[in-house]
Amino acid sequence: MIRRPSSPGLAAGFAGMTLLTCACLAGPWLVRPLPDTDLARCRLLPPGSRVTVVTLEDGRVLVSPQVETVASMLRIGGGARPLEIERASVTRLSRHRYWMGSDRFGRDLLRQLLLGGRISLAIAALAAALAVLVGASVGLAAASGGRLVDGALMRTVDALLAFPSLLLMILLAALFRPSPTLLVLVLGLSSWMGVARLVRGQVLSLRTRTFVLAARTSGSRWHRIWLLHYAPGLAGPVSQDTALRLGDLVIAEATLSYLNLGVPATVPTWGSLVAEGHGALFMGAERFPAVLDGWWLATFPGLAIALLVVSLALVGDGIHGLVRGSEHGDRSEDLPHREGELG
Amino acid sequence: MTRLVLRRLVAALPLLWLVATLTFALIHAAPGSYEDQLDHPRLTPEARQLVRERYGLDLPLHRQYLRWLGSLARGDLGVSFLYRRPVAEVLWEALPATLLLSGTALVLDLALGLVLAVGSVRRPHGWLDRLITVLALGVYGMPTFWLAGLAILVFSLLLGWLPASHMHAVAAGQLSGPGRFLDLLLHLGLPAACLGVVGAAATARYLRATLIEVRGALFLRAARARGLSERRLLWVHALRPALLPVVTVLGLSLPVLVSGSVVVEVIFSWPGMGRVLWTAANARDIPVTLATTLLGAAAVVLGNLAADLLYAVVDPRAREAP
Repeated sequence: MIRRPSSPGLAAGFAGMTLLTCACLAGPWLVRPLPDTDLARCRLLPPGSRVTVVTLEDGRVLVSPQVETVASMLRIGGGARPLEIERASVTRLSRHRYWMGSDRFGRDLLRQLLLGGRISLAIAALAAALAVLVGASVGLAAASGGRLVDGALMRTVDALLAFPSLLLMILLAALFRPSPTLLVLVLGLSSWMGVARLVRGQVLSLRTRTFVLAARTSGSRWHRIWLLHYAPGLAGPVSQDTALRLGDLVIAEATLSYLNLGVPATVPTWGSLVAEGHGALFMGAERFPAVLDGWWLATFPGLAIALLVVSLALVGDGIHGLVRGSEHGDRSEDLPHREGELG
Repeated sequence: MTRLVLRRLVAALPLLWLVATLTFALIHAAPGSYEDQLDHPRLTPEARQLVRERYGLDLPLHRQYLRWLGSLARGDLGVSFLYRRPVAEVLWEALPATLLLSGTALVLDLALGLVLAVGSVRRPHGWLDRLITVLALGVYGMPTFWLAGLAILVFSLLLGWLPASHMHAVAAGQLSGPGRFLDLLLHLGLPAACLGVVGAAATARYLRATLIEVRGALFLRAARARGLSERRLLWVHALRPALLPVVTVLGLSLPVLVSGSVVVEVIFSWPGMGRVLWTAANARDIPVTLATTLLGAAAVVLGNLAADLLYAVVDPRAREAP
């Protein structure tokens, strides 16, 4: 009897993950770019602020939170000194809202967040894909190869696990010029060992199951056994592991970027956005009297990371529940994973 | 027991050698070499040749490798480019600060994680369990550096309760013994709390799951049938097997204990190994970066060994296995 198990956690996690990914992918279209102009009047505006974009006849664009009409003139405030412009010389007036506030240069934080999310997500996803690819290949090779191959591969996995991954990343970042490609390689190549162990263990345990023995005695070819019996048995544990690993990778990438050891500083990612926010915050705090402007700069990117990682954890735990449920007939409690701490 | 320890230690040696070789290979695969450090316009060709000979840079690669391995075996980690001092000295000075911070955080992690997990398992799916589960999941998702920034914002900038950085106040030198200790404790507060709370969230999540798994076991039903109180059942009978995986986690956290949590030390300007590593990496101080990586790898190996031994102590079944 097939009972569809209900899993609110899985649904919520999947919804959160999808929502964030879609928002990041659609980012450039969701939030209009501000004109490529001097945004000095819009520095550090709190979330929800509205600004007016004034386009002039001569092509110049002025952006300011304080624009008012005084008789036939347009008074543009917000800067060091207000500017007065003939109403007639203005060709276009439009509004823009900073839903998450603006940064030290007047850029829209929401847009930065969505664009940065694309890079953060892409790096984590590619690294996870690399980890699964390498890990599954090594795991399968170890499980199906002879005793010697198995021993050699698994000892290598042990040795590589002994390499502290955050330290390895820092070492590599110190040796090579940081770039997104390097980051994907480092993150992916330092996290495939868990997948290899998982896949090997699963295949070894599946091999002794009755249905595999039955298939083998009835003369199934090896590719048939792999496709029909091993692949479905692997899908659950591997996807659970991947969801949780993805969360770890998002945090690892953010940590490296925060430490200025990840992507180059000019590329926005969630980690570097938090770093920038902390920079603005602590610079203000050192002034006298202290100003705590720009609390939103670090807060929103951090929340985005937390939301994504929590969603991924919910998905991972949910898949675990489903896999257990299908094996034991009932859905048991979720068992989260815990790896060596990063960051 | 002694034989087990010795056997595992000997087995760890090739692992360490592999890690050392890998780092050596990485260093030489990377663009730029030690020699580029000598590229100074005021350096005469004779002087450059002298330095090359002195550091063995004129030797073929395999000779350099052997030399490097030899000095490593003698405990010579080289001289830091940045500090112009022996690497071992620099790291040795940073070690106590890191051990203090990570040790405090680890104690907090385990204590808080244990209390939270037992609290939520007392009545699974009750309101307390739901609250703890949601809180632990939320904290688990937060990046440590972000939480640290938030803590600084709230507790030192807005409320002004705790200092935001360094290990001592500027004027700590003039304080008396107890005053100095109090000053240290105050400075320890925020970084240790950040590390500890993040760790506790993960520990609580893990421990809750294993505790719930153990709860259904037959031996617990038998104990309950014998009329033991629920409290004793939970704290003594269920907790012991549930702590087994935690022992493994404990072993895995030893490297963090030694290398320090880099981010937290950087954010709070804590003068430990993590901060040294970060400074070195940003300044391309290869000897220090290398030594810290090697030390971290050694800590992983030792941590795994310690976890296995602890496992044998806690779990009688593991002692009989070969």
